[in-house]
Amino acid sequence: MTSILQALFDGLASGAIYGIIALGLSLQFGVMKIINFAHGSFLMVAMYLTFWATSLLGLHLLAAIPLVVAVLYLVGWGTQRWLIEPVYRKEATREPISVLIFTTGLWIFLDNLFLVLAGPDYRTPAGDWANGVFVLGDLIFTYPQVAGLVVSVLVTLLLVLFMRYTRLGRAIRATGQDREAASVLGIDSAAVYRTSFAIGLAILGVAGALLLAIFPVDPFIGDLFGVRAFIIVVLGGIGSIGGALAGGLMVGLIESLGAQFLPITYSEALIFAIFLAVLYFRPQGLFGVERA
Amino acid sequence: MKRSRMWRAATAAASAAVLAGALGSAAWAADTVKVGYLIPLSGTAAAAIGQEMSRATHLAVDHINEEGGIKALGGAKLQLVEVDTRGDPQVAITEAERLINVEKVSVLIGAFQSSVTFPASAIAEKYQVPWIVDLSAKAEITERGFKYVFRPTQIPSSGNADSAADFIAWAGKTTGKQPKTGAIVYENTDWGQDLANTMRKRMAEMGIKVVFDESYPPNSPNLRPLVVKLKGAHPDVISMTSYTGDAVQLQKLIAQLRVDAMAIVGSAAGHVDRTFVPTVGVKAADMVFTTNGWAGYDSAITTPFARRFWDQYVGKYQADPTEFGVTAYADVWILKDALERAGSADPKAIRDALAKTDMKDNDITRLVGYDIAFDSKNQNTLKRFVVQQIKDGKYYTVWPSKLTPAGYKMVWPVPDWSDR
Repeated sequence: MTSILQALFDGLASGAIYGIIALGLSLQFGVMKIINFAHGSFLMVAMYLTFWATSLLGLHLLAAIPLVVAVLYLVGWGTQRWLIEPVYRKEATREPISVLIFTTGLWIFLDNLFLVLAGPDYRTPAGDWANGVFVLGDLIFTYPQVAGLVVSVLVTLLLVLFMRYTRLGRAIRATGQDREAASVLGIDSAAVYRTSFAIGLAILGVAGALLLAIFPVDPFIGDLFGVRAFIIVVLGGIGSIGGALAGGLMVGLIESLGAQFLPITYSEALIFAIFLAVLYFRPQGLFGVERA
Repeated sequence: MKRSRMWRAATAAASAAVLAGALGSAAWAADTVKVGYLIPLSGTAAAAIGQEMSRATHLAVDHINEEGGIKALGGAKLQLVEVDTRGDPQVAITEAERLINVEKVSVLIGAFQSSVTFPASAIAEKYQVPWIVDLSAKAEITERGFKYVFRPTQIPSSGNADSAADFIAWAGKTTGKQPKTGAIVYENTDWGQDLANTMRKRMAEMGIKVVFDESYPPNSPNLRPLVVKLKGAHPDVISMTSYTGDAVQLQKLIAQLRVDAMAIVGSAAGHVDRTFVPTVGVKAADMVFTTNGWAGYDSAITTPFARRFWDQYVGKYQADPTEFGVTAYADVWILKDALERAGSADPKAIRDALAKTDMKDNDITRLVGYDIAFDSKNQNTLKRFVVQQIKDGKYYTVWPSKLTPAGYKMVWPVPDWSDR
């Protein structure tokens, strides 16, 4: 029984972090309809930035978050403005397939760049905070788990509110629904794209810091979590912000609880089986809005 | 990555075409002996290990060349052609073909991971080029009746697990604290399964009831569910078979979730990786046991030969070499010994010389800690494992007890996490 309760909490905690990893992707995916294959690599970049902030600047891991978020916002804005936009513009009238190929190239480039910069070793954040635990009878919660759960839910909530109640948020949604119509109404779609991509990466900055507290970083870590982020986005529903968190929690729970009853190798397969089932029976995702 | 490999292959092919014309039939009588080296340097949990091995291999080549190369070949220098396998058998197979057919190497060394070495060494056999297996432990590597595949510095995985089991039996008897239940945690690969099968059998023979027996996919994003389940099984002794990334994750989780056992016994690999203690943390890694293919500085760095290796490695890389580096270093010297006796860079001559390797009480055997000679399957059956305990970040050999450094006392059973 203790194991099940522990697994339940663990599933929610890791699921929340999966959710926030997928959140930025969901925003980019839902608004710009571009498939950003470099997402996992940007996560890796965020993790290294957090690592360096803790080891070189001596910052507390949580205190490093604003810094990492700021840097990733700028990286995101710059990537969209100077790398993706020119590619996108050439294909404005068609499906933006070259963007997909471009982000794949960016993924391989970033992974190898960091292999050169940081070497192949695993790195964990400096400081003792990540090893701290709350003990509640037989149950044990680590500080990073609790922080991950709270911060992920908070960030998702803020993003939902932002999208619903601010002028910029509404502009982003309008552009996502119909770019042409939004332009007619005076929305500068290029500016909206830059901002959305930048916000997507800024959120990934939070995710990277939270993930580093529970998982060591190496240059190829993006492959591990990037694929998972895509599954979660599709599972939760493309374009649904809350759906990303729900999808993440679901994957976390399946992984954690499933492993208590099945060999752990099968719980990975179970995630994919459910993913395929959702694609088959509810292609718009669990929380996605059906589109004509 | 892809592009640079294509470019490399293209230039290699072009230069090979030019060379082929120039060299003609004298292809093997060069001033250099080309040695193909396959090792994982990225993209896998074993990359950190591969890097250490690569550094030591380069160092050995430098030392041999500085000393005047291969004397029997008029001072021919060794030339290392290194390839990053990324832990991918497919990459290794393709690269082995390229090394043999395009680079025209005389001999191959590699490739650390059993799952890579096993299929890739078959290519060497096919083209009749000798392959020196470094640390791949899959039993079948030397069970295929191959003539060109040699394993001087590793015994099949079962030898590793057997050493761990012998140690558990010995520790239980000498301390009077016998474990009653056991857990077997291993990565779901050839290597992991080999060890788990042996450990399962040995635990049954020792009367230890296996209460937890589970594998995980290597490089797992989340092993917490596994550790939660492990904790619920309350084993007295836990046997672990993991590479670095997973070993680190598992040990951190065991400390966090306070999984209390009399002993955790790792199977070398990840548990003796130079990044294991720093990444896990000195406190969380404390008192973990692990087998090790090498007994450590105090027991093995006793000759000027060994000291030169140690000092230069430490001077250059600011890290102490472990079994991985030591073994990689020794493998190149084993090759040098064969080349001197072969007096030729012809793969067939090297094979025949390798097969007659017989090293006792020389610099190389003192460095690795065991003698080197091959049986009819080209397996060195003389290699042994030791068991070490990590204390305050340092590894102390505790078994066989005659190798225990003076002043170290083994802790068994280890204290509960709440009492530390």
